[in-house]
Amino acid sequence: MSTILSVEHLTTSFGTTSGYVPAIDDVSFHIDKGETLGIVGESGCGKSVTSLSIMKLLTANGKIQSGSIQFEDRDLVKLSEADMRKVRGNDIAMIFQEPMTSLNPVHKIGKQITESLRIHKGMRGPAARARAIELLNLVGIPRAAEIVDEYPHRLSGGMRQRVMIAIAMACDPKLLIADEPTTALDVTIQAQILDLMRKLKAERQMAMMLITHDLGVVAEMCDRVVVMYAGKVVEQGNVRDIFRNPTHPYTIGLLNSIPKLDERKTRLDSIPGAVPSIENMPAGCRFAARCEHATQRCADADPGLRDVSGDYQARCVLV
Amino acid sequence: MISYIIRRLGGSVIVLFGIALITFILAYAVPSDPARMILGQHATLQQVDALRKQMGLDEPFIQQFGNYLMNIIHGNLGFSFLQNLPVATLIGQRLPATFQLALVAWLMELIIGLPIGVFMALKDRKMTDHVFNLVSLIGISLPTFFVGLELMYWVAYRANLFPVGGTGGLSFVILPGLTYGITGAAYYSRLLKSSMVDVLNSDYIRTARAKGAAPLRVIMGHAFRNAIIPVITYGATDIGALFGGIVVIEDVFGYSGIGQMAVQAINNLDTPIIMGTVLFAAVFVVAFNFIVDLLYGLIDPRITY
Repeated sequence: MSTILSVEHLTTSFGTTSGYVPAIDDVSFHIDKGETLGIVGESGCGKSVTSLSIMKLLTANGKIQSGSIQFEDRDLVKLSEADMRKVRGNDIAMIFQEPMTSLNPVHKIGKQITESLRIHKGMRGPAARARAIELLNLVGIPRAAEIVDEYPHRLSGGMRQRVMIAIAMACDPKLLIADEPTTALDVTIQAQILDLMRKLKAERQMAMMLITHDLGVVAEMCDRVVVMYAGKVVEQGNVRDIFRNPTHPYTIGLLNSIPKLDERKTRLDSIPGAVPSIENMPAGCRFAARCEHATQRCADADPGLRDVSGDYQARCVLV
Repeated sequence: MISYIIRRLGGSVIVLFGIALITFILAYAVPSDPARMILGQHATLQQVDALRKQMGLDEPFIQQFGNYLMNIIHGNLGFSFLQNLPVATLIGQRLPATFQLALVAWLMELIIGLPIGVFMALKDRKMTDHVFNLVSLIGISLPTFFVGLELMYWVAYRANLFPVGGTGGLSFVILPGLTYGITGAAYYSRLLKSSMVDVLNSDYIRTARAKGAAPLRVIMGHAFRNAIIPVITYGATDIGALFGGIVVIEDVFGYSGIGQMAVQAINNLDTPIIMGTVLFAAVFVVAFNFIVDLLYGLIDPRITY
């Protein structure tokens, strides 16, 4: 299968009082056409920064310092802002974690859906409106012809996330980046939204990058997975390999912290400690301080990504 | 919606009643005798007493206030002591001039203040922020009469671009309006800037950018309408300040509007005109606030009445 997105050695930094500090450091991964890649990790590990770097939507104090983001035949890092705008919402679309605040409260749903059609396809008037209704139907919104004239505050969180998906689908993107799309939703709604995304992805042969901290969602949705920790990729490979045979102690910890239905426990497993702050990154393995297998050589030098087998790599001396 | 309008109208009547009461108490308490004012220094005590009786000034306070209210309800604001004309007529004569000036002054505030606010929100950096804060502080601190005199000297007298003062067409309104605009714009720009910075950091702005919207579209199409809501609230309260400011500006520029008339009436203790202009200003402010409250619903669909 051919690759649609290839991120190589991407380092994105944020300006702080003590200079530029990398939030993600030397991150590399790729997504094949029609594939779903999961990116998992705790809060603050750099998942969202990775996705915003790809879209080049970082806040003013953030900046891509090195690396490349090859999308089809273009390096997004080198694209001008004007050219990048032609990619956003057109070739690559994105949906966000917070459906309650991601829609503009003063614009009607229809206007918000047709906006990218107006920008990228020059579609206007009744044609755009008809397309908006079609998109609302596609994402399973009942009474689409009425909802198109409603304002966002009239819709529930799940409905708003469907609208966000409709917006993302408007221009038939080749890649959809979903940043924690179900985190803010009820469990039953989560399942509906995931089903919808899976269905759309299959119908349109779209590639998807799914950012989540929920390994259950990864198992359900993804073909391959990238595990991130403290701004670095610590493990990546096939979902089946990683779930059956996790290598990196962090991934093992994450998997152990999922409660299992057939176990009786008074306390849930967790990984002790917290992610180091980006201003105080240890020189060696970033997980060493929380790792039960850590030795002196872990603290001395970063082990680097090592091949476990084929397309499966882990950043650990145990490999 | 209808019940909201009725409730608001009821509230407005109560506010106006309170203002009528306060101005009446103040006029009642002023140690000057209207009958003496009208008849002049040479009239006899009998003549003055006769006029007091005729005007009802010998009646108890409550009776006098009741008469005053009844007259207001019938649109009778009393007679000017000095000009012997109905106050309502005098206000009516000067209303178009003042209204024109108020409108131009307010537009000047917006034309100067809003673009600066948007620009500053986009350049939200330390250095530009300091400069902006300093300049806007100067703008807020400058008294209108000072700005007015400077403009009058440099723009009207030296550069000869506009008339120095007086009343006439649009050219007579520009400088007084600009005077108010310069001093008032800083509030609008500061308010819009902080509101705009908040909005620009919101999730829906990121959504708009993720659609590929260009900066101008993001700012004008998405951010401005959300950011303008607190500015409109301020605009409503500003109308009161606008009226106060216009009184001074009309006096400085010799502009024959209601403000100038009020200043002259204060100097001459022409009480009916003072009371009439205060009441008129109150009606204006109350009406404007009412309109703005209805405007919210148009701008922000989340607001229902």
